Amino acid sequence: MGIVQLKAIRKEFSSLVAVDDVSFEAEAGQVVGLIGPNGAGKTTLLRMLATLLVPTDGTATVCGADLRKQPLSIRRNIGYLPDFFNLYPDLTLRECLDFFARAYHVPSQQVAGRVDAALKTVSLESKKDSQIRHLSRGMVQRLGLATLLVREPSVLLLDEPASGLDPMARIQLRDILRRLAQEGKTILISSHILTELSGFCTHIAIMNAGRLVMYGSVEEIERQIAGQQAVVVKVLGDTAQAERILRGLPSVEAVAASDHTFTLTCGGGPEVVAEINRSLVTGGVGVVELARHKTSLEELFMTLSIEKNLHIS
Amino acid sequence: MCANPIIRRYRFSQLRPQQVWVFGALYVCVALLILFINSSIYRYGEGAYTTLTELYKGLFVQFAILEVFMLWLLCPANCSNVVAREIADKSFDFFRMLPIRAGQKAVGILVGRNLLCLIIATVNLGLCLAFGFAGGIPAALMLQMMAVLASVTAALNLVSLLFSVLSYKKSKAHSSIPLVLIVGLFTFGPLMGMMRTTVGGGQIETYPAFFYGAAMPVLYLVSCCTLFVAAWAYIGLLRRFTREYEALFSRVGAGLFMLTFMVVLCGLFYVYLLGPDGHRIVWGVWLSGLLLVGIVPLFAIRSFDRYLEISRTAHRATGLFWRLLVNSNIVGGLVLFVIWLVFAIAAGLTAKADRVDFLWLSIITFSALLVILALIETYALWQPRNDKIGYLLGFLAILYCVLPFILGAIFENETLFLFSPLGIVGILDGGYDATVLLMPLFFNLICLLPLGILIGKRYYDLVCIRTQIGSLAAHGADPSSVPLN
Repeated sequence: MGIVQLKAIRKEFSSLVAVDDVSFEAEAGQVVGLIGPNGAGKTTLLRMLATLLVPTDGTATVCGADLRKQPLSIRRNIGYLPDFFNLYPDLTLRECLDFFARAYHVPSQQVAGRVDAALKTVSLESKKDSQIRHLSRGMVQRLGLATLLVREPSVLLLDEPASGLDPMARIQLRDILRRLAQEGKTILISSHILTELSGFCTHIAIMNAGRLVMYGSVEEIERQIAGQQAVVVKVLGDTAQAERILRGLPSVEAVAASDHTFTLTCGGGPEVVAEINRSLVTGGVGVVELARHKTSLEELFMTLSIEKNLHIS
Repeated sequence: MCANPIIRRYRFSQLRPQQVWVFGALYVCVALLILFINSSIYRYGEGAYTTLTELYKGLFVQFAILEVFMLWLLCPANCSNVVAREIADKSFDFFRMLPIRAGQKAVGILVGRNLLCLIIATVNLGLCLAFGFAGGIPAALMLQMMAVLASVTAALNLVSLLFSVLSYKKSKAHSSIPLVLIVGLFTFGPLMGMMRTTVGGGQIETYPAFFYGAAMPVLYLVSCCTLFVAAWAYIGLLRRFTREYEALFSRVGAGLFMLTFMVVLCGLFYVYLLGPDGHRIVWGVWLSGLLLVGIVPLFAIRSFDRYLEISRTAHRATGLFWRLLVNSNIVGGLVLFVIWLVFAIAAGLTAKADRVDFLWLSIITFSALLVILALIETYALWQPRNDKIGYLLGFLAILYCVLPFILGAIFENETLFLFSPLGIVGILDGGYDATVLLMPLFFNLICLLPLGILIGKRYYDLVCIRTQIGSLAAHGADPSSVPLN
């Protein structure tokens, strides 16, 4: 059973349907990237899961607790970071994290240790006795993440968490999220900047106009969209011989050559890549590089946008 | 209480040494100033304090006023912008998501936000009581005064916080301290006089007040009445902290509030209704109750979103129109009127009031209430289409209440006052005949006509929206294309 389960969840506001009939499940350790253009319904969906909005229809459970009936229980298990937030400006960083730790029932004897650890993780330990009002935007964003780390929620709901962060902090954020996923946390992260999500999302939920257009693991979605895999081969020496061999392979459907590099479109799995390598080496061609081309989230999203006629604002 | 994380959060910011030092020094200065001025008056003044006991009595009064200033003005002012400040600081989402009960949130803010003020007030209370005992003020009186102090403090702070929560869409937090200082300045004199009279041997601690015939000291009754307000403000806070986007009163809540209010109101007036002036005192019961019938629906407005929700579960379009009407703001308001009517009849019978006057009052009030409820319903239904419609409807409501008075004054005709819901009270004292009283009734019915058409149109729209969505869904098409507003 999924840690986060949504069944036909719907949110109507008086003038629009913000989220329409969205269903999916996320397991422990999954990092689900919610992607979609502005106004797709990502924030509304996260705010419903954070118990800040009541769904008009449908059901959802987080850690087994019902969204409508047990909001307090859900709040204990989730950590939500809104897209634009601030923290109590009259508190110091240490006091702020102490407050969150205790509010989320962290045992008293563990509070100080967790506060120090969280501050270290987000590289703010040197500022622990500064008041929050003196922090920069990026630092507040990092402190926001620390408020989640200090209480170790099972589910993290992050709405555009990298906005306002410098490149170094973005890399740090990714590392932290990867580590949390490895620890078994479920992470739902929204962004319309796809590079933010590339590389560490295990699953993708593509939303448009309130609807879930596609949901699945990154590989599944790649397969669904592409149907075939792309393999890039770089060779040394006689390119004509290499091209002849590649075109002769039954699993290769198309070959695009550019200088010493070939981009192949082929069906099948990893065994096909092994077969390509074997054929080239047997044919006396020096193989410098052989790699399966990984589709970036941008490519996925753009392909889907064309296929499903999404409106990207 | 120490386990409440919100109190702990405020403890960090409120009890910083520099802040404690400044406000502590400020209080010590004020206390020393009071002591210095009074002891100087005792020693050098002529006739103000003839004995030491009188000096202590005077000090008791002044420290009690200082206590009142802190607990009734400063603390509510502190609470009045808590939520607006959270919103302005963009930390409100974190506050809303705290996994603690609504009651803990309310107590946390009330105690935490006023922590320093409460500590100083406790010290001040100790001094006040010490001077009270030294001044020979009866223990019973001091106990009753403390009961009033505590209950009014609770009521004022809870109501202040409730208003802060009600205005949760506010994005700017204004400090109420300047207002508090002005109010404090103007109320200081009268309060001083009142306190002096209270402790000056007026025997107020033995003066009886009645609740349904049960006698108790008047200050205890005042205390109970303010506790009633405090209890409802607390219930309101619990609701606002758990259902931020809904009206302050649910339908059941509004009914219960009206019911308990009428029980308390009738209890306070009961003994006087039995007296020779009962037939006139009963007007107070009727009109106080009616005031609430007019006000409570404003805090129980069901929005258009709620109507959408109600209509989602309707299976047939034919029943939907009636379903909307039954769940409407109009019927909600009428339920309150019925509760008022039951108690008003009981009070009227107890006081042996004029039945014909009461009948006319009820009928015309009913028609005026329908107009007010129709205005509220029109606002709820049309606001999603035009978010400025509230201004127009508000203006019409003011016009409806005030214009008859203006016209009545211009034409020197008091009968015109009856056309305003505020002028209906004239029925009780006017001795008007039936033909005159039928006119405001017809006027109200005419006012209802255009509002009824506007309301009916929106109900019809809702029925159409749901029918369209139903038919699109049945044919496998995307129903989200149907505009909801």
